[in-house]
Amino acid sequence: MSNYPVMFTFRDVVSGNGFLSGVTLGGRALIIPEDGSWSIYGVRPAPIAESGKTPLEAFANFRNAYKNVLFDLAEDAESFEEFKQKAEQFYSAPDPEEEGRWTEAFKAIRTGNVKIEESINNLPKEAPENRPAFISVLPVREMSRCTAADNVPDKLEFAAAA
Amino acid sequence: MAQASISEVESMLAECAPGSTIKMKTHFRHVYHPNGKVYTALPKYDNMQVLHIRKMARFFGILECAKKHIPSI
Repeated sequence: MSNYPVMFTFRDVVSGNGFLSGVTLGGRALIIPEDGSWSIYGVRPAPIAESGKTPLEAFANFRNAYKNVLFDLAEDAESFEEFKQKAEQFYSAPDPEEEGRWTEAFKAIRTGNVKIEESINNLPKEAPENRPAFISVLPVREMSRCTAADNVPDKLEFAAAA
Repeated sequence: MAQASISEVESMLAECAPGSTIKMKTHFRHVYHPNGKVYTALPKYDNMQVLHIRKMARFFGILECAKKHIPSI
């Protein structure tokens, strides 16, 4: 069974109790064929998982689940500052075992000895060094200097040596 | 994919992470471990795919204990 390390980028606008926030995430996850379908386990952020019939369906479900987690956090927050704190805690909560599995999977891929499933192999490839994990949570009022060039499309990349 | 019920999850947590609590949110259940960690994406339905329980147990560091209660994870 192969584990596939992926990286992704999302940007969302989240409304809460009297605030509007822009949340940009550069994340990590592990896609795994198991139990007759595909599972995707969050690494950054860690407390989230989803599944699908294909790797891309699993990723689409993961993406939707991530957004719904942000919506739950926004609903609980009394202010932007509280939402920012909760979103950053969600992102940074450690899962050392999953991080270790992600690193081992990346090393295995880098050796070239792993047969990569076609739909994964067709993804854009990028070196993790070029895609640091991060989260940015800003109030929309501080995003007034943004331009169209700052738009961030959803992006899924296979972590591999560039 | 195998499924498990929320009552099985509650029994497992009582044994493997005593003191943990579960709160229903609009989209998910939040599970609060006494060590401060929060699992934010446990499905809100009565039955759920075991991968969610597997992930939560790994996140809390209780996977081996959890397997004794819900072997399918």
